[in-house]
Order: sequence, then structure tokens, then C-alpha cells
Amino acid sequence: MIGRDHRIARTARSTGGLSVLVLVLVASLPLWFIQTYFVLSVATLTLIFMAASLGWNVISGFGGQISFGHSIFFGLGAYSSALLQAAYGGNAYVGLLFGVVLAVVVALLLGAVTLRLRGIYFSLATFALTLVFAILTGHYEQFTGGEVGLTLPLLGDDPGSFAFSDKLVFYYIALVLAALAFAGGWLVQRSRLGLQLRAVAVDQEAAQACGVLAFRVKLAGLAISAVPGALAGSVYVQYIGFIDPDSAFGAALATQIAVIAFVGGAGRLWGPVIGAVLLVPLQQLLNSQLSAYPAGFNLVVYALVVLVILWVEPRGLMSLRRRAPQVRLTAPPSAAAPQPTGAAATREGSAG
Amino acid sequence: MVTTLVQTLVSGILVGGLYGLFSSGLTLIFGITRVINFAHGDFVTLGMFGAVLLFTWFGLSPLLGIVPVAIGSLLLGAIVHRVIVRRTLSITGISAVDAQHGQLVLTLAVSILISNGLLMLFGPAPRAVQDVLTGVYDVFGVFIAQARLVSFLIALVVFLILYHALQRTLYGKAIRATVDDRDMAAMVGIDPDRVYAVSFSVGIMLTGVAGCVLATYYPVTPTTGGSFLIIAFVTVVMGGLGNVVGAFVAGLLVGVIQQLTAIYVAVDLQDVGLFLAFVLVLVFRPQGILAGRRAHA
Repeated sequence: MIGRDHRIARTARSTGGLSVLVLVLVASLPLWFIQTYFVLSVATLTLIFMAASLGWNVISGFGGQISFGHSIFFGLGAYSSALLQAAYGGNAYVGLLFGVVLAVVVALLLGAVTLRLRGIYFSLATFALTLVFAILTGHYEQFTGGEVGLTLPLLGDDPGSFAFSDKLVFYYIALVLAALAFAGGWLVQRSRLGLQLRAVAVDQEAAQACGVLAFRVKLAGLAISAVPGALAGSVYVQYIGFIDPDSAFGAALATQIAVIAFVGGAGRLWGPVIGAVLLVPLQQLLNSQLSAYPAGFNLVVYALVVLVILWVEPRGLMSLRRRAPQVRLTAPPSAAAPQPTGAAATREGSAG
Repeated sequence: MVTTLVQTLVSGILVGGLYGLFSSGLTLIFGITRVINFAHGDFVTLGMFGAVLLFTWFGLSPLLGIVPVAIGSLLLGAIVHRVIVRRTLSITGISAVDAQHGQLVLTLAVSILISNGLLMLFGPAPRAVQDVLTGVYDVFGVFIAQARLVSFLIALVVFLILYHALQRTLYGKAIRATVDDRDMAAMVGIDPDRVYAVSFSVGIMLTGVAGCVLATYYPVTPTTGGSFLIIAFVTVVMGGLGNVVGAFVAGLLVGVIQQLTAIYVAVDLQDVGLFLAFVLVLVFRPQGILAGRRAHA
């Protein structure tokens, strides 16, 4: 209650103001928080997967068509960029653009086959297709490097070929990428397309009755949604310097992009941001200590965290805030404080 | 030439029976809850581990092990449904779509939990049941392994029992009514909550049984569930989502397609052949291959 009419608080409440505040904060992290290469790497990967998940949010969050195969676009971006550079000596930036175009074409083809049907077919087909891509890239090894994967040539410091000796540059590239994906999501959400997507998500028949061309809207949503995924894949492979079929198209990545958004809140603009900030560092931390624990331990913990969060709030962490007033409404009048503070209400909500 | 073809078809059908059995569990669960159970493949793995562990610890043959594995997976299914899947429906003010998406992600988390839990406990090495049903029949030059034949027959019998139960028992009729029209079924006094619980548990039980008999000839690792999940996805779409008979028939077809691709194209591309069939079904017959007739269950 204290700062409700305060200008700073009001600015922070609006999406634009809040996102600028967060952007400045994240951009300043290397100055005061990120001290080691490990933390820098975790932060960079968090931003990369955040971008992919923000892309996912357009078709699956706003549009309600749950994709379990956004790794298709991530992998296409990664492999286009890596193949062009490693096998054909091309420019990495051309590879990045080619990856985006390829991802959009595949998205349109996939959508043409599946988006006329009920949403569940889309979920099944995306999951099956990404695993098929993993098998195909593993099988045609003379073209893709096969199961062994592709290693990018070490170029030292060559900004013209997307190579930077200072890893901090990749952090800022990833930050720009995530910021663009967020801005893209915001624009879609505020646009006519975003409204139509949400209408289709809630009730497709009703939306169609109001004149929404559901198939076309979903197809456009899927094509837009593929772009951040492909860009994230390209940046990822340039940053890590290595890609193999499983880390590009595998089931783990396919589900992770979706789970990040679900944990934060699918269909909420900030959902993928919160989900990525929570889950990616968790995974990286557990992975780095892998030697101390038996294999599989890291994913057991990961799965338990996801289970608990979705058990408490199936709509994701963003919705916990929304539940606070409901708790007040359902509580007996005597138990409810006359004017509970925001913090207390939130705590109540997360406990329930 | 012809012998190779017949051999391929026979092994496809024999393994397809098991695909059909666990896929009919997935389609049964989908028909009722409208949720795709992402942990389905991992429940097959659990059934296989159950059979292997009963065999190595107590020397129990997988054919007898079916009984404890079936009971165990039935209980496990009931627990997963009661504690995890049903949870999302009890949130106040949640929309049906959000609840379903929540269930989807919860089953996904269960899948990661099972496969990595098994990896943690038993390590990545493949395990198998040895020296059980090792005979091979030679039928006019076509070799049929005893383990495959017996597994197929068990799968067929279990499926027929399921079919009979769905057609003739009161619970079966309640389940079919709920698949056809949930609101109407609830209106005539069918408790949807109980139907959910029963069909989820039975679906998982079918999966456990399929895994148990599959273990007689298929070595199990903690991560085998992923490929079973894809097989089950393709099978249930081919059979028509929610159609139990369709799923079993499609399972046979999927087994044959997989074997044909493995023999005539490349072994590691066998799942790509499945995916092509999947796309063709999506484009031409999204209602399922058997949907021409009035679908049962």
C-alpha cells in the first residue's frame, strides 16, 4: 500500500517500465554480481534458453497450442550456423539468417499439417518431429557430423565470424536476444494477432464464430514463434562451439523449452523469464557437481522441483500472485485481516 | 526374398501386439482425461524393470511375474492419479484447459523422475531376463522365437480381457459412456472422479503388463521409455485418439512398419518410418484408421 501512488512504483508496475528496469539490472550484473566464468556461463545460457522459451510462449502460451518440439527450431538454427561455418567455410551471420529462414519454413510446413486439427495433434507431432530430426542428423553423418557432433573451428577473436575471445560479449549478445524476444512477445501480445491467438486458445469455435481465421492465426503465431528459437540455437552453438543431435533436437531440450515457460507461467509475458531464471541455473549448478552424485541425480532434483511447483500452482509461478485475493475471499470473515498487506497475502497464496 | 518379407512381417506383428497393449492404455487414459500421459513409456520401463528384478532377485519367471507387476502398476497408477494428476482439478478458479496443460507437464515431470530415478538406482547398463523361453520354432523357413510368440499371445489375451471388460462390465460401460459424453455420463449418475481413477490405473496396469512380457526378449535400460513413448504416440493417433480397439490394431501396424523400415532401409531409421506413417495419417485420416466403422470404447 505504501508506494501505490509513488511514481517509481507506478513505473515499475507497467510492463514497459518494469522491463526497462530489469534490462538495466541484468545488463549491470557483470559489474557487481558475475565474478567467475562459471556464473557468467550460467547467466549466458539462462538468457539463451529464456529467448527460446519466450518464442515458445507466442504459439503455445498465447495461442494455447502446446509445442513439445521447439527444439526443432533451436536445432535448425544451431546446425545451420555450425554447418555453414564448419563444413562449408561460410560466414556465421549468414548461417544465422539461413537458420531463421529454414526454421520459419519448417514451422509453416509443420503447421500446415497439424494446425487444422485439435491442439493435441500439434503437441504429439512436434514432439515426434524433433526426435526424427535427432535421428536424421545422427544418421546422415557425412552431412551433419553424425552422433559425434560438430565442433566449430577455433577462430580466436574475429567479430566478423561471430567469434569473440571475451565471453562477456556473448553475455550481452544473449541479453540482446532475450530482450528482443521479450519485446517481440510483448508486441504480439498487444497486437491484433495476439488478441486473436488468445481467443483461439480459450475457445476456438467461439473465436471462429467471431470471424477469427483460426488456422491462419495459429500458422502466423507458429512462424513468429520459431524465430527466437532459431536465433537462440545459433547463438548457443557459437557460444559453446559444439553441437550434437541430442543437444540440438533431443527430448530433454524439447521439453525444457516448454517446461521453463510452464513453471513461470505459460501465456504470461514474464512467465518464461521467471522460469528460465529459476530452472536453467538450477540445472547448471547440479550438472557442474555431477561427479559428486550418481548419474541421473541432477534430473531427479530438476523433476522434483518442477513437480512441486506445478503441484502447488499448475498455471505457473506468475499465477501465485493472482491467487492471493482468492485466498482472502474463501477465508472466513473473522480469519481474514481487514487490510492484509501484499506480502502476507502472497505468502498465504504460496502456502495453499 | 519372400522368406525375409514374411519373417519381417511376423516379427513386426509379434512385437506390435505389445505396442498395441501399452498404447491401448495410453488411449484409454486420453479418452477419459483428455490428457496425454507423457510418462507412459517410462511405465513400460518400470514394468520391464519389475520383471527383471523379480527374476534376478527371486528367480521368478516373467510369466509368473505378470501378477505382482500388474498389481504393482495398478496401485502405482492409482497413486499417481490421486496425488499428482487429480491435483490440478482441485485448484479453485482454474480453467479446464489450464488444468489439462498442468497435468501434461506433471506427467512429463513424472517421466523425467522415473527414468532418472532408475538411472540413479540401477545405472545405465542394459539388463535382461536370461534363459527364459529360449526356444525357436521353424515354420517353413520362418523363425519364430518362443519368447516373442508367448509375449504376443499374452498381450492378445490381456487385450481381449480388457475389451470384454469394457463391453460387458458396469465399470466398462461407465468408462465408455464417459468417453462418449462426459457431461451426459455425469448426469445419469456416473461418478467422473471414480471413472478417471479406474481408467488411469487400468491404463498404467496394461503398460506394466506389456513391459513385463516385453522383458522376456528385450533388454531394458532406464531410458528405453522414450522410444516407447514415441511408438505409443504414433499408435494412438493411427488408431484414433480414445479408440481402444483402434490402438491395438494400429499397434500391430506400427510394429510391421517399424520392422520393414529397419530391414529394408536402415536399422537406426526405424522410427523415421513410423513418423512418415504418422504424418500420412495426420493428413489423410486424422480420425484414425478404423474410424470408418462406429468406434467402440
